[in-house]
Amino acid sequence: MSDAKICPHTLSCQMYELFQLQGALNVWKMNYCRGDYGRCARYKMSEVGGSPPVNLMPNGKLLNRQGG
Amino acid sequence: MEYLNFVVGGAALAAVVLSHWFLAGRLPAMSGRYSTLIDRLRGKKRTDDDFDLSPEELLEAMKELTMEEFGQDAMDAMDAEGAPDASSGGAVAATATLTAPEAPSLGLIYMGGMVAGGFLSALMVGAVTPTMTLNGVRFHELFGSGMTSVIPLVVGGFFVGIGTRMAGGCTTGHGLCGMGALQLGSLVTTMSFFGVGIATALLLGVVL
Amino acid sequence: MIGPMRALGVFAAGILFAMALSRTGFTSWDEVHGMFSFSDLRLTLTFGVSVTILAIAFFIAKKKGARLPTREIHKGSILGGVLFGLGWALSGACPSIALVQLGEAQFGALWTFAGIFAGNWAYSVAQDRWLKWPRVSCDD
Repeated sequence: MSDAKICPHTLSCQMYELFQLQGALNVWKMNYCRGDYGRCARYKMSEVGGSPPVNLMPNGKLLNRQGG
Repeated sequence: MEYLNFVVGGAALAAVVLSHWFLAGRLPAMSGRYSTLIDRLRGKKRTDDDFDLSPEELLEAMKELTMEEFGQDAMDAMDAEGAPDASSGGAVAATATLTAPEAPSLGLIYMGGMVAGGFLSALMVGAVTPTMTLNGVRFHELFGSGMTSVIPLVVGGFFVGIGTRMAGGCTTGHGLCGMGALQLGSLVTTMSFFGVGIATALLLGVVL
Repeated sequence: MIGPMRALGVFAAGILFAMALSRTGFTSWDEVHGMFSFSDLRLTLTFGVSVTILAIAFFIAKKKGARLPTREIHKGSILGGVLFGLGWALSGACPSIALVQLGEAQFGALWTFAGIFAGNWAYSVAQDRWLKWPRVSCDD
């Protein structure tokens, strides 16, 4: 775990910061940010010059009041 | 024309940046506001334009999506484990929201304030000297006093428009805020624009 | 919806910022040229002092848990800076300064403004069509 590659955007990603809200949310970090971050929808969008919507989750779903 | 000395002036600029943080809820920056407006005019809408969830709603929504994706068991396991970065959770939790990009109309309001401020400043020193170009002895020495002096403005402006958007910031965004926050990207960009600015100015003196 | 208090706060922030830029001399083509050609160190020192004060203020704020913007180096960092520097030395303005100059009745800034607008627009189009460079912005 400690030598897994980490997504280069963790410092500026608002979503990453939000994963601190509750222990359970770290499951996202383990599966994307600190794991296979190439699968992350936000990462993929940034890499091709796009600006991810603030509520875009790594799995491509969008956060809103009804959940997703 | 008496300008503020560098100590008072430097303090004034810093104070203003900090007051902006307080009054507008974010650090000042101009080129991003231009970009937002222009993208609007080009007809590009963002899907997160009206995103506006309270911290509670946000947490709820996140938990739901997490459940959907990973299932209750995985979530319980993580909770029990006390995950890797849990230590910083406390400070973040109380104020966490997702801040949507600033609405274009706010950008316009800010720009209006900048123009008003310029006017007030000129009034303050009692020196409102309207000109169809710019006020500056050296400026006119180099570029003439008629329409020729408009050329460096348009051409220069064009490069400023491209460069600030490409670099993602201008003097305020990178120079003041970025450098203040000790960001490497800002340092690189600031050194680039300062270096080239110096070279250009010296070249102008030689060529014109 | 934007509340009136927020709008007022933002407008006031704009006024204050403009006055600071104006009174320090950043809106004068001559002063900026003096900074870039080393004939007058005042503006450079002003810049230095403000960055130093901000660095200290940010450091303290960070200790108290504030979140600061991050600006990593990216593909457009250097070339963008280069073009911006060239433009600034020619026009004497950056996006903020052009607006303040307008308020000061230096109407040449309208031309600068037109140039900035065109340049920003051109890059926006280029970015969509050709460059797939990261889209960065000042907004955090």
